[in-house]
Amino acid sequence: MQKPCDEKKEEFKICSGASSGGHMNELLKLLESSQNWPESPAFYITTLDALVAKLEEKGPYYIIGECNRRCLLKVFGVLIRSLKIVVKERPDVVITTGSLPLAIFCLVAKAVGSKIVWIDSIANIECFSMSGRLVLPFADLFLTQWPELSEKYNNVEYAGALI
Amino acid sequence: MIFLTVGTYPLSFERLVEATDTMITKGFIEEGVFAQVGVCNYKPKNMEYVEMLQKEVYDYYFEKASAVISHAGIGTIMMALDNEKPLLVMPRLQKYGEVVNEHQIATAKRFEELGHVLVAYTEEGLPDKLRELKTFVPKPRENQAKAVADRISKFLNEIRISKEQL
Repeated sequence: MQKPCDEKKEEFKICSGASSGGHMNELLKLLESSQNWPESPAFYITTLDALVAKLEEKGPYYIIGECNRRCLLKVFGVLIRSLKIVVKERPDVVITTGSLPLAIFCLVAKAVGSKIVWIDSIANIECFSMSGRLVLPFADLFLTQWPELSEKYNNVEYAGALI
Repeated sequence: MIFLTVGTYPLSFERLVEATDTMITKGFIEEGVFAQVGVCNYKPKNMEYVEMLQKEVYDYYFEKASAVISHAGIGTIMMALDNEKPLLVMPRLQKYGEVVNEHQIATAKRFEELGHVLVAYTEEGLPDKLRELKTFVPKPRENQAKAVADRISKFLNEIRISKEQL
Protein backbone atom coordinates (compact mmCIF):
# COMPACT_ATOMS: atom_id res chain seq x y z
CA MET A 1 0.00 0.00 0.00
CA GLN A 2 1.27 3.44 -0.92
CA LYS A 3 1.72 5.71 2.06
CA PRO A 4 0.56 9.31 1.86
CA CYS A 5 3.29 11.77 0.89
CA ASP A 6 3.57 13.62 4.20
CA GLU A 7 4.08 10.41 6.11
CA LYS A 8 6.71 9.29 3.69
CA LYS A 9 8.64 12.50 4.19
CA GLU A 10 9.11 11.77 7.88
CA GLU A 11 10.57 8.34 7.29
CA PHE A 12 14.28 8.12 7.90
CA LYS A 13 15.46 5.29 5.77
CA ILE A 14 18.80 3.64 6.32
CA CYS A 15 20.24 1.22 3.81
CA SER A 16 23.16 -0.93 4.82
CA GLY A 17 25.21 -3.18 2.60
CA ALA A 18 28.43 -5.01 1.88
CA SER A 19 29.94 -7.45 -0.57
CA SER A 20 29.84 -11.10 0.45
CA GLY A 21 32.84 -12.31 2.46
CA GLY A 22 35.07 -10.20 4.67
CA HIS A 23 33.23 -6.96 3.90
CA MET A 24 29.98 -8.52 5.09
CA ASN A 25 31.63 -9.82 8.27
CA GLU A 26 32.77 -6.30 9.02
CA LEU A 27 29.31 -4.91 8.40
CA LEU A 28 27.70 -7.51 10.65
CA LYS A 29 30.14 -6.55 13.41
CA LEU A 30 29.08 -2.95 13.01
CA LEU A 31 25.39 -3.80 13.03
CA GLU A 32 25.81 -5.81 16.23
CA SER A 33 26.81 -2.57 17.95
CA SER A 34 24.27 -0.29 16.28
CA GLN A 35 21.64 -0.20 19.06
CA ASN A 36 22.09 3.57 19.41
CA TRP A 37 21.23 4.35 15.80
CA PRO A 38 18.04 6.40 15.44
CA GLU A 39 16.63 3.71 13.14
CA SER A 40 17.59 0.19 12.19
CA PRO A 41 18.40 -0.25 8.50
CA ALA A 42 15.19 -0.50 6.49
CA PHE A 43 16.83 -2.78 3.95
CA TYR A 44 20.14 -4.39 3.09
CA ILE A 45 22.31 -4.83 0.02
CA THR A 46 24.72 -7.63 -0.78
CA THR A 47 26.38 -9.10 -3.84
CA LEU A 48 25.85 -12.87 -3.86
CA ASP A 49 22.91 -14.99 -2.84
CA ALA A 50 25.26 -17.29 -0.93
CA LEU A 51 25.72 -16.45 2.74
CA VAL A 52 22.63 -14.24 3.02
CA ALA A 53 21.30 -16.24 5.98
CA LYS A 54 22.49 -13.64 8.48
CA LEU A 55 20.94 -10.81 6.50
CA GLU A 56 17.67 -12.64 6.08
CA GLU A 57 17.16 -12.51 9.85
CA LYS A 58 17.63 -8.76 9.85
CA GLY A 59 15.25 -7.60 7.18
CA PRO A 60 14.57 -7.31 3.47
CA TYR A 61 17.63 -7.44 1.26
CA TYR A 62 18.59 -7.02 -2.37
CA ILE A 63 21.35 -8.73 -4.31
CA ILE A 64 23.17 -6.48 -6.76
CA GLY A 65 25.71 -9.01 -8.07
CA GLU A 66 29.49 -9.11 -8.01
CA CYS A 67 31.75 -7.16 -10.31
CA ASN A 68 35.34 -6.06 -10.60
CA ARG A 69 37.11 -3.39 -12.57
CA ARG A 70 38.17 -5.88 -15.23
CA CYS A 71 34.69 -6.72 -16.40
CA LEU A 72 32.76 -3.65 -17.50
CA LEU A 73 29.72 -5.64 -18.46
CA LYS A 74 29.27 -6.83 -14.88
CA VAL A 75 29.89 -3.29 -13.62
CA PHE A 76 27.07 -2.19 -15.88
CA GLY A 77 24.81 -4.94 -14.50
CA VAL A 78 25.46 -3.80 -10.93
CA LEU A 79 24.81 -0.21 -11.98
CA ILE A 80 21.42 -1.05 -13.47
CA ARG A 81 20.34 -3.19 -10.49
CA SER A 82 21.49 -0.45 -8.09
CA LEU A 83 19.55 2.16 -10.01
CA LYS A 84 16.35 0.15 -9.79
CA ILE A 85 16.71 -0.34 -6.03
CA VAL A 86 17.65 3.26 -5.32
CA VAL A 87 14.74 4.64 -7.33
CA LYS A 88 12.34 2.30 -5.58
CA GLU A 89 13.65 2.70 -2.02
CA ARG A 90 15.11 6.22 -1.92
CA PRO A 91 17.30 5.68 1.15
CA ASP A 92 18.30 8.74 3.20
CA VAL A 93 21.60 7.13 4.11
CA VAL A 94 23.70 4.29 2.77
CA ILE A 95 26.12 2.71 5.25
CA THR A 96 28.63 0.30 3.76
CA THR A 97 31.94 -1.44 4.30
CA GLY A 98 32.51 -1.90 0.53
CA SER A 99 33.60 -3.11 -1.96
CA LEU A 100 33.32 -2.06 -5.65
CA PRO A 101 29.68 -3.13 -6.23
CA LEU A 102 28.70 -1.15 -3.13
CA ALA A 103 30.76 1.82 -4.33
CA ILE A 104 28.68 1.77 -7.50
CA PHE A 105 25.53 1.55 -5.40
CA CYS A 106 26.73 4.57 -3.37
CA LEU A 107 27.40 6.54 -6.54
CA VAL A 108 23.87 5.91 -7.76
CA ALA A 109 22.34 6.64 -4.33
CA LYS A 110 24.32 9.86 -4.01
CA ALA A 111 22.98 10.97 -7.38
CA VAL A 112 19.43 10.88 -5.97
CA GLY A 113 20.42 12.63 -2.75
CA SER A 114 21.32 9.87 -0.27
CA LYS A 115 24.04 10.53 2.27
CA ILE A 116 26.93 8.10 2.11
CA VAL A 117 28.76 6.53 5.05
CA TRP A 118 31.74 4.52 3.86
CA ILE A 119 33.84 2.43 6.23
CA ASP A 120 36.91 1.32 4.37
CA SER A 121 37.77 -2.31 5.00
CA ILE A 122 40.29 -3.18 7.68
CA ALA A 123 42.09 -5.08 4.94
CA ASN A 124 43.27 -1.75 3.52
CA ILE A 125 46.14 -0.83 5.73
CA GLU A 126 48.58 1.26 3.71
CA CYS A 127 46.17 2.90 1.29
CA PHE A 128 42.49 2.85 0.58
CA SER A 129 40.89 0.32 -1.69
CA MET A 130 40.16 1.38 -5.25
CA SER A 131 36.48 1.44 -4.37
CA GLY A 132 37.26 3.58 -1.31
CA ARG A 133 39.14 6.07 -3.46
CA LEU A 134 36.17 6.16 -5.82
CA VAL A 135 33.77 7.00 -2.99
CA LEU A 136 36.05 9.37 -1.01
CA PRO A 137 35.30 12.51 -3.09
CA PHE A 138 31.56 12.29 -2.49
CA ALA A 139 31.21 10.38 0.80
CA ASP A 140 29.52 12.31 3.62
CA LEU A 141 31.32 10.34 6.31
CA PHE A 142 34.40 8.36 5.41
CA LEU A 143 35.89 6.18 8.14
CA THR A 144 39.12 4.23 8.10
CA GLN A 145 39.94 1.45 10.54
CA TRP A 146 43.60 2.41 10.82
CA PRO A 147 44.64 5.65 12.55
CA GLU A 148 47.66 6.07 10.25
CA LEU A 149 45.39 6.40 7.23
CA SER A 150 43.23 9.14 8.73
CA GLU A 151 46.36 11.25 9.10
CA LYS A 152 47.22 10.84 5.44
CA TYR A 153 43.94 12.18 4.08
CA ASN A 154 41.65 15.10 4.76
CA ASN A 155 37.99 14.28 5.39
CA VAL A 156 38.86 10.82 6.64
CA GLU A 157 38.18 9.87 10.23
CA TYR A 158 39.31 7.06 12.45
CA ALA A 159 36.80 6.03 15.10
CA GLY A 160 38.10 2.53 15.80
CA ALA A 161 38.27 -0.80 14.03
CA LEU A 162 35.39 -3.19 13.50
CA ILE A 163 37.50 -6.19 14.44
CA MET B 1 43.20 -31.42 13.43
CA ILE B 2 44.63 -28.48 11.52
CA PHE B 3 42.22 -26.71 9.20
CA LEU B 4 43.72 -25.33 6.00
CA THR B 5 41.68 -22.81 4.05
CA VAL B 6 42.37 -20.50 1.13
CA GLY B 7 39.17 -18.58 1.86
CA THR B 8 36.28 -17.98 -0.51
CA TYR B 9 38.44 -15.95 -2.87
CA PRO B 10 37.72 -16.70 -6.54
CA LEU B 11 41.39 -16.98 -7.53
CA SER B 12 43.41 -20.09 -6.82
CA PHE B 13 46.08 -20.33 -4.15
CA GLU B 14 47.70 -23.66 -4.96
CA ARG B 15 51.05 -22.50 -3.61
CA LEU B 16 49.78 -22.71 -0.01
CA VAL B 17 48.01 -26.04 -0.54
CA GLU B 18 51.07 -27.63 -2.14
CA ALA B 19 53.47 -26.16 0.45
CA THR B 20 51.33 -27.46 3.31
CA ASP B 21 51.15 -30.87 1.68
CA THR B 22 54.94 -30.85 1.41
CA MET B 23 55.24 -29.86 5.09
CA ILE B 24 53.25 -32.97 6.02
CA THR B 25 55.53 -35.14 3.86
CA LYS B 26 58.59 -33.62 5.55
CA GLY B 27 57.15 -34.14 9.02
CA PHE B 28 56.70 -30.50 10.01
CA ILE B 29 53.01 -31.16 10.57
CA GLU B 30 52.17 -34.20 12.68
CA GLU B 31 48.47 -33.58 13.12
CA GLY B 32 45.87 -34.49 10.55
CA VAL B 33 44.99 -31.72 8.11
CA PHE B 34 41.60 -31.01 6.58
CA ALA B 35 41.52 -28.49 3.76
CA GLN B 36 39.22 -26.26 1.78
CA VAL B 37 41.41 -25.77 -1.28
CA GLY B 38 39.21 -23.61 -3.51
CA VAL B 39 40.03 -23.51 -7.21
CA CYS B 40 43.03 -25.82 -7.22
CA ASN B 41 44.65 -28.05 -9.83
CA TYR B 42 47.12 -29.49 -7.36
CA LYS B 43 45.90 -32.72 -5.77
CA PRO B 44 47.07 -32.99 -2.16
CA LYS B 45 48.44 -36.41 -1.19
CA ASN B 46 48.55 -36.17 2.58
CA MET B 47 45.31 -34.55 3.58
CA GLU B 48 41.61 -34.76 3.20
CA TYR B 49 40.30 -31.87 1.17
CA VAL B 50 37.29 -30.37 -0.56
CA GLU B 51 37.04 -27.53 -3.01
CA MET B 52 34.42 -25.53 -1.12
CA LEU B 53 32.52 -26.02 2.14
CA GLN B 54 29.08 -24.83 3.10
CA LYS B 55 29.30 -22.02 5.64
CA GLU B 56 28.02 -24.20 8.50
CA VAL B 57 30.48 -26.98 7.71
CA TYR B 58 33.26 -24.45 7.33
CA ASP B 59 32.44 -23.03 10.76
CA TYR B 60 32.38 -26.52 12.22
CA TYR B 61 35.91 -27.35 11.02
CA PHE B 62 37.16 -23.92 12.01
CA GLU B 63 35.91 -24.30 15.56
CA LYS B 64 37.07 -27.89 15.86
CA ALA B 65 40.60 -27.21 14.63
CA SER B 66 43.50 -26.89 17.03
CA ALA B 67 45.04 -24.37 14.63
CA VAL B 68 44.27 -22.85 11.24
CA ILE B 69 46.50 -22.24 8.24
CA SER B 70 45.17 -19.82 5.62
CA HIS B 71 45.70 -17.00 3.18
CA ALA B 72 45.98 -13.54 4.77
CA GLY B 73 42.33 -12.73 4.10
CA ILE B 74 40.65 -10.42 6.53
CA GLY B 75 37.60 -12.68 6.89
CA THR B 76 39.70 -15.60 8.05
CA ILE B 77 41.81 -13.45 10.37
CA MET B 78 38.66 -11.99 11.88
CA MET B 79 37.18 -15.42 12.40
CA ALA B 80 40.37 -16.68 14.05
CA LEU B 81 40.37 -13.71 16.43
CA ASP B 82 36.72 -14.30 17.25
CA ASN B 83 37.41 -17.95 18.02
CA GLU B 84 40.79 -17.28 19.68
CA LYS B 85 42.26 -19.74 17.23
CA PRO B 86 46.01 -19.90 16.56
CA LEU B 87 46.34 -18.82 12.93
CA LEU B 88 49.25 -19.05 10.53
CA VAL B 89 48.80 -17.06 7.34
CA MET B 90 50.64 -16.90 4.05
CA PRO B 91 49.78 -13.85 1.94
CA ARG B 92 48.50 -14.35 -1.57
CA LEU B 93 50.79 -12.57 -4.03
CA GLN B 94 49.84 -10.54 -7.05
CA LYS B 95 52.89 -11.66 -9.01
CA TYR B 96 51.54 -15.23 -9.04
CA GLY B 97 48.05 -14.10 -9.99
CA GLU B 98 46.70 -15.14 -6.58
CA VAL B 99 45.18 -11.77 -5.79
CA VAL B 100 44.57 -8.44 -7.56
CA ASN B 101 46.97 -6.35 -5.45
CA GLU B 102 49.50 -6.81 -2.68
CA HIS B 103 47.20 -5.88 0.20
CA GLN B 104 47.51 -9.30 1.87
CA ILE B 105 51.18 -8.65 2.65
CA ALA B 106 50.28 -5.45 4.50
CA THR B 107 47.42 -7.20 6.28
CA ALA B 108 49.66 -10.06 7.35
CA LYS B 109 52.39 -7.70 8.52
CA ARG B 110 50.09 -5.51 10.60
CA PHE B 111 48.29 -8.36 12.33
CA GLU B 112 51.61 -10.07 12.93
CA GLU B 113 52.98 -6.90 14.61
CA LEU B 114 49.90 -6.81 16.81
CA GLY B 115 50.56 -10.39 17.91
CA HIS B 116 47.32 -11.68 16.44
CA VAL B 117 48.69 -14.10 13.82
CA LEU B 118 51.83 -15.86 12.65
CA VAL B 119 53.00 -15.18 9.11
CA ALA B 120 55.00 -17.20 6.62
CA TYR B 121 55.69 -14.72 3.82
CA THR B 122 56.93 -17.50 1.56
CA GLU B 123 56.91 -21.29 1.50
CA GLU B 124 60.44 -21.24 2.95
CA GLY B 125 59.11 -19.60 6.10
CA LEU B 126 56.65 -22.37 6.82
CA PRO B 127 58.80 -24.83 8.83
CA ASP B 128 59.76 -22.22 11.47
CA LYS B 129 56.26 -20.82 11.72
CA LEU B 130 54.69 -24.27 11.97
CA ARG B 131 56.94 -24.94 14.93
CA GLU B 132 55.80 -21.69 16.56
CA LEU B 133 52.18 -22.46 15.79
CA LYS B 134 52.21 -25.40 18.19
CA THR B 135 52.49 -23.09 21.19
CA PHE B 136 51.21 -19.82 19.73
CA VAL B 137 48.58 -17.99 21.76
CA PRO B 138 47.12 -15.15 19.73
CA LYS B 139 46.79 -11.79 21.44
CA PRO B 140 43.07 -11.06 21.83
CA ARG B 141 41.72 -8.03 20.04
CA GLU B 142 39.72 -5.36 21.75
CA ASN B 143 36.38 -4.82 20.04
CA GLN B 144 35.97 -1.22 18.91
CA ALA B 145 32.86 -1.76 16.79
CA LYS B 146 30.81 0.10 19.39
CA ALA B 147 32.96 3.22 18.98
CA VAL B 148 32.53 3.09 15.20
CA ALA B 149 28.78 2.54 15.49
CA ASP B 150 28.52 5.47 17.91
CA ARG B 151 30.37 7.77 15.52
CA ILE B 152 27.92 6.78 12.79
CA SER B 153 25.04 7.26 15.19
CA LYS B 154 26.14 10.85 15.76
CA PHE B 155 26.22 11.40 11.99
CA LEU B 156 22.80 9.81 11.53
CA ASN B 157 21.28 12.06 14.17
CA GLU B 158 22.79 15.12 12.50
CA ILE B 159 21.35 14.33 9.11
CA ARG B 160 18.01 13.25 10.52
CA ILE B 161 17.67 16.58 12.29
CA SER B 162 18.68 18.51 9.19
CA LYS B 163 16.13 16.53 7.20
CA GLU B 164 13.35 17.34 9.68
CA GLN B 165 14.22 21.01 9.46
CA LEU B 166 13.69 21.04 5.68
